Amino acid sequence: MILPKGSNGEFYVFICTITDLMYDYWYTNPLGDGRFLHDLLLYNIVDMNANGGLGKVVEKIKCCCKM
Amino acid sequence: MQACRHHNGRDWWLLKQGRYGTNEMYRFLVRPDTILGPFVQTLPSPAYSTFDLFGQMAFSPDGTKLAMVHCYHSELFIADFDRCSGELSNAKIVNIPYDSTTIPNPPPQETIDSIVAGVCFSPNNQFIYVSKWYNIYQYEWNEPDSSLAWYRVQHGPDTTHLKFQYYNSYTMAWMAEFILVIGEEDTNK
Repeated sequence: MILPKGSNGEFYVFICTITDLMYDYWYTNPLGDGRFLHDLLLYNIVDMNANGGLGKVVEKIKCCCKM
Repeated sequence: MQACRHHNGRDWWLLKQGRYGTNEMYRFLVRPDTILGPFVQTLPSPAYSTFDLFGQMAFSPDGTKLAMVHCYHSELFIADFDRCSGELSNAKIVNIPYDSTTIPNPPPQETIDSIVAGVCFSPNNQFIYVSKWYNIYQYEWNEPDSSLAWYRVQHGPDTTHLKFQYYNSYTMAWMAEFILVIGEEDTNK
């Protein structure tokens, strides 16, 4: 999910993923039907004005929420 | 996970289903300078027992409604959305019809057409389109009679493309004057 961070060419890039703890739990205790438990929401900030318009990740892997 | 622009025209609401086995909805207020939240709203009954499955969530174009489907539930979750507070209200779950008659290949017909893939709104905010593996249905938001609210738009794939035997996608969207369904294996239509 990508959302504008104001109007200065910066964007939030949200990623829904899982913690290492949840991954270990899932790997060793599969629930039997392939469900993957997403318990972590991360975000990065991208500046699309950087690098002559090619863009640059200016903040990386910031924790938004651990569920 | 889905986002809707805040009523102030600058910020955004980001909504994500909550922890597995709950009926929670997490929401975040995304501002240019910070992200506030999570604000957790417990949705009223009925609730999904398996809240972390594949599926799709969609806001209506005007941001006043939310629709959501989950892969193995033949149910459509709908609710009103307040773009000022970010809260959902008038939540309810509607059973999605399924076709058990004309699916050509195994697995069992009732199984394969019980799998829901994607959901999207019409541009006028009044209709919801739900893709299942072999059918696409339309739901009319303002029709109180559930037997009249559903209409099957498409039965079976309208292509001979072998990689598009089913609407086994996780994404559906309105593109100008047609519905876009994005499937697996780089198949699309």
